[in-house]
Parts: sequence; structure tokens; C-alpha cells
Amino acid sequence: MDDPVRDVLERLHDALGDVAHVLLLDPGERTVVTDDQAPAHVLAAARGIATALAAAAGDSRTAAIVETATATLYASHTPGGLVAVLVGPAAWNVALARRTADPLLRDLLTEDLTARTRAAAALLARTPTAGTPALGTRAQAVRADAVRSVARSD
Amino acid sequence: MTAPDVALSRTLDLDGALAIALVDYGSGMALATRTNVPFDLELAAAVNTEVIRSKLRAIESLGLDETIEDILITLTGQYHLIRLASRPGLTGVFSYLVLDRAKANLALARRALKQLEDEIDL
Repeated sequence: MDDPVRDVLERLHDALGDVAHVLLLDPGERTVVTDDQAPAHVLAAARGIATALAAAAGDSRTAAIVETATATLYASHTPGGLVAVLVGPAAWNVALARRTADPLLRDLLTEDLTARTRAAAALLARTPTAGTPALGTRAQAVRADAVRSVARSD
Repeated sequence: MTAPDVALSRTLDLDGALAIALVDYGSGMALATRTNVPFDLELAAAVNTEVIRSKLRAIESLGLDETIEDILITLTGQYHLIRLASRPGLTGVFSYLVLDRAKANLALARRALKQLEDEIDL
């Protein structure tokens, strides 16, 4: 597989038939991989949940479920620091989804994947960001490409 | 009103009672559980949520102006009894009781779930 990060996303999608979006976020909240069709408000919600989980969880495995009028978000924070956010429909049977997702997340969000993510984050930290425009801009796309390049480099 | 642990334990005192859970069928998550034997109540809560949702859809499709009071599933060696709470404070919650078919009294079990609903304080 030439892009293990994206492979994780696809395997989660395949396993969970009713999931709408899968997002993986790194410890610094930068999006590692998102569903290509995940809208901006979903991305923003995922970032918010990931931030809260990272602050509360430290190095432990922690999860959160957020229910809104239109969607259910299940976020899982791994000891390595990655946060996976699964977005399902409103009134999603999240307990059933977790049965499938949790073992997969344990298998897929490995130390290797975390290391790749951190390497990508370190690379990005060296990139000047002072003038980085907001979400949805070309700069965001460039950053996403940089993350994927590092993930592929091994 | 009674705390969930106490109320569930009391229900499990029934002859033949093996396991019991209170479940939120909006999310499929168990709110409280108690067992007398090893039993995966977390999974049971999630999958029986789908049972209830299917039956609710069926009633809607049939155009019946009815509500579900309880659902009985009879297995070779067990009864699985599901009661949807009707009390306003417990909307969206069901109780799930697993019984040993050889020992249990279904009428008493139904009454016990009604009593559980009446007295529990979530």
C-alpha cells in the first residue's frame, strides 16, 4: 500500500456501512486524512472534539460521542495521540458501530502510523504558517499534500 | 424512587433472571447493567436497539396507531423480554431482561419490568 494513512480511512469506511465520513486528526489538530466529501462544518466539529479529547486524554485511550440534530460523531483518541472521528447519521446506533470500529482502530492506528503523523507534523511546523489563509484554501491543500508525502516516504 | 443499581438488582432477584440492562435506544448504549451470569449486555443492548427500531418501523409502515409495550423473544433455553418505557422521564429507554426459560415466570417478569420502570431514578 502506498498510502497507509488513506488505507486506514478506506478500511474503516468499508467496515462501517452506515458511516458518512471518517476523519483522522493528528495531535496538533491538523487533518491527516479526511473523507473527500466531508463538509467544512463536519471538519470543524471534528477538530473541536479532537482538541477536547487530546486535552482530556493525555496518553490514554479515550472516546467521546457527540449527538447533534443531524449527525452523531464518535471520536476515539489513541495513546499515541491520533484522533479518529467517525460521523454517522442522527440517532446512529453508535454502540453497535463501536463494536466494529474499536478493534479496527486499535489495529490500524499503530505506533508506526502515529510516528508518520508526527513526522508530518514536525515537517509542517518548520513551514512558515504566519500568513496561512483559513480553512478550505490552497494552503490547506498544500499542507495535506505534505502530510501524505511524508506518509508515503517510508 | 430507587437508584438504578438497587432497582436492577431487585429485578434480578426474580427466579430465573440471568441479566438485565437499561438501554438508550437513541444510541444503543447501555445505561445500567446487572448480571447473574456471564453475558455480553453491551452487545445485547446494541443489537436489541435494532430489534426495537425495526418493530417501530414495521408499526409505522402498517399504519397502526399503536405503541409497543413489550417484546418477547423466546429462545430454546431463554426468554428475552424487552419493555419500552412509557414514563415521561424515561422516554427513549428500554429495559432488557434475560431469563432462564426453565425457571422463569413470564407474568412475574413482565410485572417486574413495569415495577422497575415505575420506581427507577435515572
